[in-house]
Amino acid sequence: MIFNSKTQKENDDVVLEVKDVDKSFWIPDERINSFKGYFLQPWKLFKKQGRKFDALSDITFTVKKGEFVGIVGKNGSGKSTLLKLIAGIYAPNKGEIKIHGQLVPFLELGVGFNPELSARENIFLNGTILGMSKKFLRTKVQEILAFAEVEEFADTPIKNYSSGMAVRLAFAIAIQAKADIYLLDEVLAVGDAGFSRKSMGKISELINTGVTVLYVSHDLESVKNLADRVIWLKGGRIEQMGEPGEIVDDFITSLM
Amino acid sequence: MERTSNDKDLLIELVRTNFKLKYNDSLLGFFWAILKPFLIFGMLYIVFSNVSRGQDQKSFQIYLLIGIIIYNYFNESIVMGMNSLLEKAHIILKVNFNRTIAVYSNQVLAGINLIINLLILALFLLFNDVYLELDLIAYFAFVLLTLTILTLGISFFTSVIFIRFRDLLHITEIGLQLLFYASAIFFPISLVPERISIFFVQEIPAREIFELNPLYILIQAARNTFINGQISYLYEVLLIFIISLLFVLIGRAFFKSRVKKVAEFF
Repeated sequence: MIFNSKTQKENDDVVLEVKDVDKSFWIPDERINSFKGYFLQPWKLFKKQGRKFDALSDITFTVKKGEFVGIVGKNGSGKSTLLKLIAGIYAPNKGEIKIHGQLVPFLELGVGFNPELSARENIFLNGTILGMSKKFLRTKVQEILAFAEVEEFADTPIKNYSSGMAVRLAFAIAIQAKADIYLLDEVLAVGDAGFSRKSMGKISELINTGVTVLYVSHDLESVKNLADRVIWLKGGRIEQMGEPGEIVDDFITSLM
Repeated sequence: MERTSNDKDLLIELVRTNFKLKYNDSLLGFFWAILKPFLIFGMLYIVFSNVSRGQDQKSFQIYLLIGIIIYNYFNESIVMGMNSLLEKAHIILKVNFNRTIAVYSNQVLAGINLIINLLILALFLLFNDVYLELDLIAYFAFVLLTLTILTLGISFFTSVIFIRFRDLLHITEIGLQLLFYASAIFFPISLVPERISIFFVQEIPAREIFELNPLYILIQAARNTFINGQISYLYEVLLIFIISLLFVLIGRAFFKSRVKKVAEFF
């Protein structure tokens, strides 16, 4: 596959700055989420019992315009938490995250899809949730339906879709979002072999337009092929950062 | 594609989706929106028409109908507003859209229900001999606007608090039930004793306390327009309007400062 995003590296504009970021979650022994709970055990209001889980600590890195950054690490190493912090879904406990440009998170495909609604209606629902305007979507409906290969079923509720059809539709909508920075959490390869090839083609087209991508994946081959730089997270800290080939190999060795 | 200005589109899309799911595909359709308030109206009218023996029956019907419609709007706004973040948890955890849209969209949905109910009320008023003048209708609308701003302000707080305290809904349901009785929906306020003694507490000015209830004041102001042709409680309504506006401003600030922190508690 041809991805010539590496040629973009000369561009020195920083689009994402992550500085000294810490994120911890409180894991209570017993989660109280009612007034009744606090009424029965009022001391719990002041003295929390549980433990702090440091999901991320001392994360600092910058991403330049046009870079494709892969993020690898074991389950629970903080990859998805990092993307959620960058996406603005969680707030960091410490440090700051600066974003220069438009950012679109693809943490999951088909966010907000409603099974009772038709494909056409879901395009507008999911599209507006992803930040697209209705006017823009109206011009793209046919293209989205065609790319997802579901034109015949445009007015069928998606509860009657096969899972493959639904995920194709979700991908076709997501790929329309125009942004400077994309956060991808394991969403590149969807559908059967044919569609997967088609979707990878679409993504390479996107990358060639000079956008910035942060890509989390367990598919280490694709990370090696696509990324300009790799960040290896281990226990919430950056273990290594740099050349994809070396770091992915080191990571694989550590798994053995 | 401009990302910044799609809040309005998102609002419309969320409202449309909910509206469609609630009404379009159900057999009775629109009928559902009016079913509950009008069944309650029918039942209360049958049981309590004796209460109003002194006055004429028609004005009691309007008294009851306006009370139920406004109370129902308040009830729906509060309950839906409280749910607005939690019910969208699956979207909120994946995409960083403007969270206030979730609250606004549920307020708009409750407002659509209100408008459907008001259309029925309008028919009812046309067939009865009531005061229908432009300034009265404008005042009636202003009262409803005040109530809308009030519930919106409350929802900015409750939607966030509800994520941490899941029994807030049960507590609120009890509160709303009590408020139904405390707002004189189906009886005239003159039925409430002026002074009452319970246990060791002597001489509680019960009626005066009832008359402090803002929902009662708003409902009464709305009723007086069509039943008596009066613009009443103007000072009180304006006061509630201003307090509600402050509530919305503070509520929005609270909402925006807390909304990211509660995302971990879904």
